[in-house]
Parts: sequence; structure tokens; C-alpha cells
Amino acid sequence: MVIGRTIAVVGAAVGLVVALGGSATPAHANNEGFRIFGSAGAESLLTPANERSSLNPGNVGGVHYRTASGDASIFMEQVPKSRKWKARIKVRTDGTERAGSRVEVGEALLQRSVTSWLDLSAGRIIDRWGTGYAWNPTGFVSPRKNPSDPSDRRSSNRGLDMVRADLFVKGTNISLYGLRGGATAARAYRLVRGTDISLHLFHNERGTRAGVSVARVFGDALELHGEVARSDSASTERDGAVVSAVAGGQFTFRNGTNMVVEVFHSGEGLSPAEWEQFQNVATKNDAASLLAANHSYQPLKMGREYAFVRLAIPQGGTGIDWEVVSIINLGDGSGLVRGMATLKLRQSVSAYLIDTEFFGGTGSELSYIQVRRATTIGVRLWF
Amino acid sequence: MKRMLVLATMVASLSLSLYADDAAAILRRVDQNRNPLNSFSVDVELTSLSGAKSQTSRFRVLGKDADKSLVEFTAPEGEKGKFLLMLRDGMWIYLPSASRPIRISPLQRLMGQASNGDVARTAFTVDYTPVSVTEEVLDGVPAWVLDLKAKSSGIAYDRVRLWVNRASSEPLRADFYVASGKLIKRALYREYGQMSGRRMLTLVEIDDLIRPGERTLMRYSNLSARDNADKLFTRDSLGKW
Repeated sequence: MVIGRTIAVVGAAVGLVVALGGSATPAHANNEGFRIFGSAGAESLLTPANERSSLNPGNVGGVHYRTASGDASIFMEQVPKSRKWKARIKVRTDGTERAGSRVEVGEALLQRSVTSWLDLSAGRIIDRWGTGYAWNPTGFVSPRKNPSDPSDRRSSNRGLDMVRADLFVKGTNISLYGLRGGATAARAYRLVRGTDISLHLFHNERGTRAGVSVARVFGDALELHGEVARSDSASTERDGAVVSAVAGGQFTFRNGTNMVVEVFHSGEGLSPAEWEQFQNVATKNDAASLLAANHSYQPLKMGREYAFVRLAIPQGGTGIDWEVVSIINLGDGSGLVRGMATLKLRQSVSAYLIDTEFFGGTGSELSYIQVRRATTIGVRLWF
Repeated sequence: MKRMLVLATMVASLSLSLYADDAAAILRRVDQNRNPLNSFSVDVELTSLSGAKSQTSRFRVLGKDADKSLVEFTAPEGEKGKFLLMLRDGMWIYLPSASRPIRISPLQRLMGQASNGDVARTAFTVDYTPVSVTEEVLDGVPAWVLDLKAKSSGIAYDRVRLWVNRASSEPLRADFYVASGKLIKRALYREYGQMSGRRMLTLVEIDDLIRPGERTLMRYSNLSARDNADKLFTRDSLGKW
């Protein structure tokens, strides 16, 4: 029912755009003219309650064992052969059996090539900064990343409203941003002797953030990357400047297996005193404390040091693709392991099974999680 | 005696140098035959065959100055919106779900037995230096055999042996070796046809020698001259146009 309603909304949006497009070319055409692509999916999520968590004793939070959901994202682009301008819109709809459905414009932008060295863009734009796989401390204008799903499987990210100028000057790219609320940002990028180097700057009424990100390939299989970001005290909840950093790499084996390893230091994670305070609130036996603790609990964002490992084993188009992700809080040893198996039913249809298991000793970050595990069974269609 | 040795060394050096020059000239003619256009667009279809199963992907490749390539993924549906940028100094992929360019290594493949370079590059001279040339007859066709060495360790294949038709300077076959010396892949340049008003390579078969029976057919079409702006070949433009 929900899935049907979701797909109906997307279908209506597609019909509208095709009607407006008039001279729309077929969907398989290249990036000139009108083109349309996207995906739709249906999932069933199984989440047995973790009644041993002090945030959900006796499943007081009412965690549902099964939740069905559907989503669809559609991208539409118009680019003339001259490539002088481009219009792009991303419409996304999703729904669950309990929360109903919603429609959202994730991106809507107009882009103009003013000269051979200047592009201007305006609208809602998804623009991601940084080189990290699971974390991007320099992602000052980026949608917040979920490290356990860095590739945004359901295309749920939403852009920021902005105007942007991209300058291409003698091998250096400079992007200048004006964002809603008076914030400004800038990024400069240059490839220096095979190394990607970017400088990042962001300023709003709360303060200034600055950072640098790098990436480089060594030989034919190893890529290393890193990011460091510094936020002044006004732009965070902390006293004094906050520094966050990620360092990592990825290695590709001859059989196509790909491994990513990262370590992350979060300057915005809780201090030992703050963590102790959270634990004190979480273990009190009154409703107000329970609500407050649940409100402040943000798994995988409360620690200061984390490690991330991802192993992807592709089998090509004829078998099952395997992916295993593990994230560990290096401070207390708690974490999660997520396994994913994807079976390509057809070239444009995949079925997948994802299981996430949590581990950690009493009082560790992940021991508070309100569910014992999360198992997702889904199917996704690309068009 | 010493003078004779010096003379012999000089003659040997001269002949080796001339041979290397010959090899370089042959390789330039091979590249010219594969793609004579400086700024161009070409469509590439990859069909990966494994036993009775097959899978097809399509790409549009925009190129400039032999060492700049932008590959747009146009099919199947799940791949649309992806781009690959290949420059002399690096390679990046843009995924719509990631909304940013990601630095990748040469071993991260597009699909099947085709490497990123197989699709993105139409010139050997960008990545390889000819070190020797010999003569051979391949399937009844007199051929030059060029031994090519990768210019850097960042190239997917450390060494290539390339058979070239002596009469036409068209490539016939290439064997690809990794740094350990192991032969892992063979390309057979199967068909030529008319594109952009001249005879051009239209079909390459790539055989996986590690997994016998697995091969990829790479078909070219719609090669045309096209004025591609320099900014298209920058990391920050990936996915924007």
C-alpha cells in the first residue's frame, strides 16, 4: 500500500516532467538533451528490541519488530548540446507503514557555463567535500554522512540552498558559496604531482571552520587519503577550538576485492566527564531521565576515536556481491558489524539482505542501543 | 683493440637507438590509426561473457590531447549518472549517490575484464614507452612486435607486447603482463570499420588468461570530432556537466 502510493507519486512527477520537457529524448540517451534516471525500492526492516538496554527497559520505547517501507528517487536533467546551461531536479518520496509517505525535493538547480573558466549554479545542491570514505570532517556544506551506510543506499540525502561560483584557473579549481542564513564557504582544489589537495573554509554567525583534505594513489592498487578540520569554539558546543581528523586508505586486490580502512578522531565526541554524565542520566529510573538520555543518545557519534573497515567482494553480474562493514569505538571496544549480500536478479533489479549486529560490554556506547540487531530485506529497481 | 671496442659499442648504441626510434614511430602510427582526432566523442559498448551468461554496459567517452578522458556511464540503468575521469596523473570516479569525485586506483575496474584504461584510453603512448621491436608472422600476417614498458608503477599493466600489422600499422593483438611478469590478459583487435570518414578499429576482444572462458567484447561506434572544453577534464567538473 505504502510502496504503491510512493511509486504513484514518482510516476506522476515523471509524467509531469516529460510533459514539460516536450522534446525529451529516450532515457538511454547521453548527457545532452533531456534524461531521466533513478531508483525505487521496497524494504522490510526487522528490529528486535534490546530490552537489556537501560534506554529501552522492557521495550518501553515500543520498538516495532517489523517495519515495511518504500522509497523512490528520480533524477531529471536537461542539458543542451552546447552545454551552456543545465537544469537538474531530484525528487524523492518515501514512506513507512506507520509514518505515512512524504515527497521531498532533494536537489533543484540551474547551472550556467558563463565562460570557459567560470560556472555559476543556484538552487538546492548536494555538494560533498572531503576524501574520507566513512567520515568527512571537512564536509562543511555536505549532507551528514551515516558511516554505516556511506554510499547512501536509498538516496536519501538532501542538498543545501546555495549559490555557487566555480572558477577553473590554470589547473586550480576554486568554488565560492553563498548559503541560506548568510553563511559563506570556499574551497580550493589542485592536483599537485599526483596528489589531490583541497583547502576548505566555512563561516556563519556561529564561527569559522577550516580544513584540508588530501588523496593519492600509490602503485596500481593502493589509495591513501586524509582530512583535518578545525572549528573555532563559537562554531561548536565546546570550549576552545575543536579538531577532527580522518586518515585511511583503500586497497584493491587482483580479483577485484576492495578493502577500505579508516581511523577517525572526532573533536566533537564526548569527554570522559560528559560520558559519565550521560551514563548517570541513562541509569536513573525516572521517565524524564529516560527521555533525556534517549534524546541525547547518538550511536557512533559519542566517542572520540573510531575505526572503520569495509571489505567488498564483487562477483560480477552473475553472482552475489558481498560487503562487510565494521565500525568500532576505539575508546570502549563496542561497535557494529554489518554484512550485506546483493543478488542481481536482472541488470536493473537487485535483491539484498543486510544484517547489522552490535557488540560491546556493559556501559559501552553500543550497549545502550535500543535494538538487538537490524535485519533488512529489500529489492531495488533502477530505471 | 680498445678503439674497435669503442667503435663496436657506438655502432651497437646507434642501432639500438634507431630501433627504439622505429618502435616509437610504429607506436605513434598505431595510436594515430586507433584515433586520429585530438578532441572527440566515441560510444563504447562492453559485453562481458562468462560461460552462457552475458552482461552489457555502455559508455560515452569524451577525449582530448590523448591523455584526458571523461567516461560517462549510459547503461544499464543502475550505472547511469556515473562518470570516470582519467588524466595522466590520476583517476577519479563520480557516483550520483556519493555526489563527489572519489580518487581510485587503476585496479578498480569498470566491469568484466576491461580495465578503466581499456575504455578511457585510445593511445598507448600516454602510458607506455616502447623498448624493443622485433618481427613475426601472426596468423599469416607479417607483424611488428613491440615490447612496451609502463611509464610509471601506477599503470595497471607493467608490460605490454603489441603485435602490429606491418602493412597497415593497425594493432592485431596485445598481451598484458603485471609487474611479477605474469601474463594475465590478451586483447585481440578483431574488426575495423568506417567511422568519421576513415577506417577505424571497431571491435576488441579481451580475454582473461587467469580465468579461461571469461572475455569481454569492446565495441566502438559514433566516433566524431568534438570541441571539448578543458574544464570538462577537471576533477571538480565531474558529474556537473
